[in-house]
Amino acid sequence: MARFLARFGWRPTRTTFVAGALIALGVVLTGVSWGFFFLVGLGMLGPGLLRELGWLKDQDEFQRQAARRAGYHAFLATGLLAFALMALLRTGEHGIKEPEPVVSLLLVVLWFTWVLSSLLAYWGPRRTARTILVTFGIFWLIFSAADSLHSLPMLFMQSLVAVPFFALAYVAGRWTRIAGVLLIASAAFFFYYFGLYEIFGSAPLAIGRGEVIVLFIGPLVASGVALLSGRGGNDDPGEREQGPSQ
Amino acid sequence: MKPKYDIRNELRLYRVKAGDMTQQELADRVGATRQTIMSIEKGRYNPSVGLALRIAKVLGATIEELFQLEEEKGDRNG
Repeated sequence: MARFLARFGWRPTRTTFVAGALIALGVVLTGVSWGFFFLVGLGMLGPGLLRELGWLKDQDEFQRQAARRAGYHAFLATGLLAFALMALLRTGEHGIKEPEPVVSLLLVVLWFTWVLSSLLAYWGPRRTARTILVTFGIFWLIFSAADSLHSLPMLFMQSLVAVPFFALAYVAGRWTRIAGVLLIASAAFFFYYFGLYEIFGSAPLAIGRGEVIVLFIGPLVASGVALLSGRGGNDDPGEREQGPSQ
Repeated sequence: MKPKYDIRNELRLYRVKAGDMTQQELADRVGATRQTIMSIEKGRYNPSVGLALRIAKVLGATIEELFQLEEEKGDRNG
């Protein structure tokens, strides 16, 4: 498994595997009881907690710096959102009946900001954008396959939705500015197409709208902005060894 | 206006001088990851004094040979 992932330039440690297993187990076991959701939290935050306590020493100084910076970014994003939500809730007319969507949105923003900031620090914008887009494409493929396995033509048609993501990933690797503009344009298109602008309406957090915006529009916008910010030249080239140059 | 400085490094050059040492070899010998070495070479990360000293020792160079302050272009008015 580790060797397979190394082909894609990712070398997860034993800690990453254990944390990933805890998260997966937690998600699966929520089908039995939502009490097991705490396992997801342990998987996400446990390694960082152990590192801060000095009981886990599996990172070098660059990784620790990237993780701390990502943690600070997550703190800023989640804090800002918490204040905005508090302001919204206290105004009276907000259309939010239950606390669950609010907490869920805070967790999603916390996780998303942390992951994105870590990836950008570790890989740089170009490779982060490519990875995000390929992941999106694969998810679309899985989604369309699960939805239309009964009909081969339908499966083919549905799979075409994944093509723009793979095409954008290709463009991001070669023409960063063009890819940046296309990513932001596609984010704006999806925001309108899926009616996500209703976050400004009378029921802002209904049907998981906030989470969809963060997890679907967020990566597209963040990758686009990162590519346009002109930091694309300092990227991790992936698994290819950087040969010494004279 | 105070001059601004970048830190330029010669890690790649000294890896060649040290017998074409790969990033992974250097990383293993100084107790870091290849990603860290690569980030230092690309100027994305400035190592701590401790790591810089370990790198210098492994590559048989001094810190000054590996890392130099370079005044940022377009900001030379002091």
